[in-house]
Amino acid sequence: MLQSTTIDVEKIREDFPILQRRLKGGHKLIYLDNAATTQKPRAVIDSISNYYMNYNSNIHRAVHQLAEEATFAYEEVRRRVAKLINAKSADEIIFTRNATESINLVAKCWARQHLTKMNRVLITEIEHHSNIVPWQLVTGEVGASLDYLNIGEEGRIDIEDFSQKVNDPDLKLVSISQMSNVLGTILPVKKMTKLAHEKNVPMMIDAAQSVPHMKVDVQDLNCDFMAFSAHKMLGPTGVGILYAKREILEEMPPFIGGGDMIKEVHKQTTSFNDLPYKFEAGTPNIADVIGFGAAIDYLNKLGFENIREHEMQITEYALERMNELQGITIYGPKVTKERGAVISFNLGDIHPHDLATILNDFGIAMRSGHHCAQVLMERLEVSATSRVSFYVYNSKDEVNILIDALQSARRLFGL
Amino acid sequence: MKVEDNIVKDIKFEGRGCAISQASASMLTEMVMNKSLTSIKELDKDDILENIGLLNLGPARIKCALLSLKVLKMSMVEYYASKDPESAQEIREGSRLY
Ligand SMILES: Cc1ncc(COP(=O)(O)O)c(C=O)c1O
Repeated sequence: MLQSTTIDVEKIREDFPILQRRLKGGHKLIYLDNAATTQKPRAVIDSISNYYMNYNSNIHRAVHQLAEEATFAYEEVRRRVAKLINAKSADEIIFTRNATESINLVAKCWARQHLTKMNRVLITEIEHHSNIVPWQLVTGEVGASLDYLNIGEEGRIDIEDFSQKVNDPDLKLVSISQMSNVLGTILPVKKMTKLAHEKNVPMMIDAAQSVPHMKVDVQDLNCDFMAFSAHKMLGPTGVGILYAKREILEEMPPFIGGGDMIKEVHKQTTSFNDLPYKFEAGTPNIADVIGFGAAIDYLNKLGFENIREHEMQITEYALERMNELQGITIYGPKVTKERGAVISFNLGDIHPHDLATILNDFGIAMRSGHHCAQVLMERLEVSATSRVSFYVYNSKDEVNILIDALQSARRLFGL
Repeated sequence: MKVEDNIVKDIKFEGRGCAISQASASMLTEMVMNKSLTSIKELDKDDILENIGLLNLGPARIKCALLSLKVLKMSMVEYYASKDPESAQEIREGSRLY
């Protein structure tokens, strides 16, 4: 029997205006595409409109009251982000547009400085395109090479294989995701960071799928860089976070040039601003950063342990029910402790796009395709999968409707 | 695709994908069989959608329905590239289907 969850889903659902809407055919929205982006609670939407209605102004420069209030609100979120991931200082938190931009910033500013023809960057076969392409670009530019750590069944890495691969004097950086957006596999990033550091290799963690769903502590992991996105954790689109250790950020050259990232500008030379502003040129996404602050508050109130517990329960229930379906192939770990709330699957030979279209008629929003992980698709020898992913507002009732819809798809396709 | 005297004499496709993409590809091969390249140039998205009877596909699935037409038009662009660059350019423009 499943234990009762520590999260009151019905109460949470009331906080999300979009979950009240009806779709074509009068269906309730069953939103199971949370790995792509999550819905936003009223508190987040309100904090954004409150900013525009009451204290909209540019930050960091003007001395008037509005600027003071806006600057305070924006910088207060930076402190909350630092606390969320237990960074030593808010100076180590850089606001970007999304996780993708954060990874590109490291590739362009750090890797380009540190890589030569002789060097390598190591990633895994499980990565999202945003943790592949920036490394292809930068290694291509300097003539370095990009290596992959193979993954086994269920998306796991072989830690022995990893310690051999990091034992390479030419290796300059490891970048891996903490949780797979396709298989849900949670990788042992702490152990991997320790092994990499023993060989003086810095570690970057793509935490786009982990920070929203579990307690993540950068000092405990001891990683050198971390990237994630606000929109995957109840926050607005257009805000990403880059965390990096202070000593690394200090010696990195700036990303793009302009206002706010400078100390003094003369005709031919510029001295750059202190951290974190050195990496935030131009007017930032003030409103959405403030909205992200409200999302962090909301999640903290629920508690990350409760969130993880709830997700494990619903994932376990969904796996159990889905396994009853004949002809289903489920990818990724069987044990819920080792996975996040993401389930990729195929049902017989129904193409995922067709399945998603049928499920759409039940009001179910599900993702189909390669999930920006074509290297992984090649490894799994499939061209596409269907994917459901859960968050704090999903219920077991919704899983039951999913199962009914999948049953009806099976009948429709004569499986 | 086999072309003789500007006429499609044979056409086959190989593909893996969803029901809409496979059905529309199969139908497209029937539509263009024994037709002149000049008339194929004129084919547009509504011809395909009408023929498969799916007139209100959303922006995501319309790509499935039009994939094969896009492939056909791009292969014609290649075919004309050296012998008739002007036609190639015209087809390329016309292949922006959505
Ligand atoms: C594992 C992983 N990394 C990175 C990203 C990129 O996030 P964004 O598109 O917000 O930059 C995603 C988003 O799908 C992801 O799942």
